[in-house]
Amino acid sequence: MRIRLCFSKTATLRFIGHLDFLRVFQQTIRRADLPAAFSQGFNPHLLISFALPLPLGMESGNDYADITLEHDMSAADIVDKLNAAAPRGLIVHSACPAWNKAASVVTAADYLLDVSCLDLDMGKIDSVVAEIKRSEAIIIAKKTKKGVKDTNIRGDILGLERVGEKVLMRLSAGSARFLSPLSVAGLFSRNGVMACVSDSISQNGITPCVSDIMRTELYYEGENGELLPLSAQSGGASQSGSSSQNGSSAQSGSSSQNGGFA
Amino acid sequence: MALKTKDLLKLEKPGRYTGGEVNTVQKEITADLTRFAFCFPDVYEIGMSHLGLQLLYFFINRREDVFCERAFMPWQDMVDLLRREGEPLFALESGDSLREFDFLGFTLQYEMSYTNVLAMLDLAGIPLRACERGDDFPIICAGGPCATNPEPMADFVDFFYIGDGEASLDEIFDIYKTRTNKQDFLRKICNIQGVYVPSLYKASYNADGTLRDFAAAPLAFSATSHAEPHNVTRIDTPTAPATVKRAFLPSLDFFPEKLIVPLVESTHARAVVEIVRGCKRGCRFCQAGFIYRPIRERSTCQILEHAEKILTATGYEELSLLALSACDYSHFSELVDGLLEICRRKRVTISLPSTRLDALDIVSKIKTLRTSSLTVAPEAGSQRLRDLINKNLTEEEILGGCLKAFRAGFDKLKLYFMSGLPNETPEDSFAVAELSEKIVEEYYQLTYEERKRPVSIGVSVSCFVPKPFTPFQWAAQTTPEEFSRVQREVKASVRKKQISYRYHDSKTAQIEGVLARGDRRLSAVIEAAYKNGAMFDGWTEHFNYALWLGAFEAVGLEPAFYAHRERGTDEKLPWDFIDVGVGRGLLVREWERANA
Repeated sequence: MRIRLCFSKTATLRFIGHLDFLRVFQQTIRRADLPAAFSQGFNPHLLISFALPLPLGMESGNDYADITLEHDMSAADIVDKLNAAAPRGLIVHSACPAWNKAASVVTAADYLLDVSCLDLDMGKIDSVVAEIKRSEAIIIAKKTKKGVKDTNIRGDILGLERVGEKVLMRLSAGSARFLSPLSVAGLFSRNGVMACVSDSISQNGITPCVSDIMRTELYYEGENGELLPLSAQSGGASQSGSSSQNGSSAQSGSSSQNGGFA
Repeated sequence: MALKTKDLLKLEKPGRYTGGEVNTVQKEITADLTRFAFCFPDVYEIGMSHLGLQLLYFFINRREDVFCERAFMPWQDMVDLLRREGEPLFALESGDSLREFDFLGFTLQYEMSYTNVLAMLDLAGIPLRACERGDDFPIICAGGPCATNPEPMADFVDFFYIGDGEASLDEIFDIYKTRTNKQDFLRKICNIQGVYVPSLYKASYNADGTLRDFAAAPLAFSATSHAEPHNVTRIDTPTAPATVKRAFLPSLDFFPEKLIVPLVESTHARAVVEIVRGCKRGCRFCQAGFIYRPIRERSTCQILEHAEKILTATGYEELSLLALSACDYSHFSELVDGLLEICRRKRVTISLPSTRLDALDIVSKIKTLRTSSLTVAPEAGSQRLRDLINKNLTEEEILGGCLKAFRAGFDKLKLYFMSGLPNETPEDSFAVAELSEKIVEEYYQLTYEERKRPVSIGVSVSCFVPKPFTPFQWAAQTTPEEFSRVQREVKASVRKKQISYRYHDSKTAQIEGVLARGDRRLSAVIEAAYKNGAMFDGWTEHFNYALWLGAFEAVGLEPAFYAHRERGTDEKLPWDFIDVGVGRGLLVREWERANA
């Protein structure tokens, strides 16, 4: 059965890229001796699928990966065994049965941008937040395979709010639409909002970098179009299995942030 | 370490510098803890693929009173960052500067890493020369295969450790606790088996540049007066031993139950189990075949038990065996059966180091779990030359072995050869190409149905470098010009498109040859090369021949004197004072046989 693991990747693990992290996770599962399923074929490898790769340098709060187990295990057992085998910086918060594929359903992500590095007063940050929310179109130069293209990113900014010295951003994420948190972070550079972002990055030394951003939660779209964390799954049978898991994922602190966009 | 996250993220593979890998050891740092940094003078991925590092890491850390950490040569971008920020090179476990350690232990795996040793000292803010380091600097020691001729590094290292690490390290740490100062410590340990303290010895030279005399100076004078002739030694002034015997472990008892698992992909990301130390073959070119004698095997059931433990502790999906010649293991077939059972159960693949073609029946069992590539080392193309180097492999065995390998489904063969071997004729050189073509023809003995893919034969020819403690230690190394001239012609003679023929850079081989058989005057050359900018000399893209030639010129020494000169068996060699357990008589006899 498919199990969704909710984990965080922090500390020294931010210095390894997605492919290295994939291997680290597979090795952790092997050390934990979970009855994980392997691919068929000549060189079988352990099946694991991440909801959304995390850029090198960024930490994550509630991150997700699906694995398949060949026989049942209690969620607590899975979590305990993985944490005992995990390297520093990888903490598994919860495990629950998965009724969809994380990688194919994810549509949005929350990011916490640390704006303290910009050395701006918070009133200025607030005005940038307000200006972005008021705008109908924000055009930035986005790099594509064919070259640089002007793109309106306003529709992919689903939420924006200052929380202390941080700005919480909810952005489109996933295979269909994806907005890089760095593009939005660039709007907070000292050149000010609405400047062409690519210009502001090149002209101003103080621009948030990937290590100033933490990805705190991933969402999929529920039946009524509402955004639900990947750990919370709708649908009859899964309810009992996943509800107990929500309790543990709430400890990582993201649930409280979710309320902000209600 | 006080580097910023943002700066680290700009580096290529920052995960090399952060530590925090699974199975690393942490200890509380107290005043009476002896701190040892195992220093690998190459990048992290290479060092972490070296089982010797892992073995000694866990061996030393089993003592509560010593904390062994790791340090590696940082890549150029990190070298620049450290220099820019004024940060010292640090060890990965604590992040503390190498200057704060009691010992830095360098492993000398290849001569071309010598400038990296100097770079690591320099980056840690430690003076390069032993005589410039007072008591407040760490004690610099060095071991590994190249320490069997320690002389070129003599000026930089406080003591060398020659032989099996497990044998005498404990004694050294015990004595360290009773020391009064560095000199006192070095004098106390100079009689331990395997320990060589270069500052306690003096060398003098003949007019033709050869070694005249090499002997221990009386200890009473050693610190100040190297000029004192050694024959004034009185009975009450003990000297360091005239002969340094290598440290030797009669049976391999210590087995690390864990291995550190790197977070970033290392060169060989796999669990490794040492099955045997030493080699029963007597290939005349092979230093490892002589300096690790006699052969010591671990028991099959011990190996199987540890293979399972290590796989469980690491989570690796590949297992490899460490041995100079794995197929020569006494119970190889039984061992492979046992390992295959474990690997099937744990869904792990198994791989072997370079394989002997006469043991392919067993090796082909492994094929069921592995790729279609096989590496073999005939070493020389002609039968005459293979006999001369004592490879003990006939052409029938090579061709028959290759055919078996093709039948078993291998369609990629990597063949390793050497050129520039003693007494090699042009016919011998061209025989490499001829043998490779015969191997391709073997493939076409398969039926059309058996030939699933086109065969590919990768031929790699390296320039032979004579090494100390081998019968070829007296031989003249071929010059870079001669090697390149011959190899260009041989390469041009290859007609079959299935063969890709490559040969190594022979200028690197020349410098390697100089350092391998050099004396202590070369310390000045290594230092000059480093100060000229030489670093990562083992990396083709970093090796700068001109820097080295400039260093030789500045010091007034000739590379040819060390590399391209045949020595007489009556010449005093810089490493003669070391007893690695192989008699000089045997080496002379083998050298004479090769010349017969």
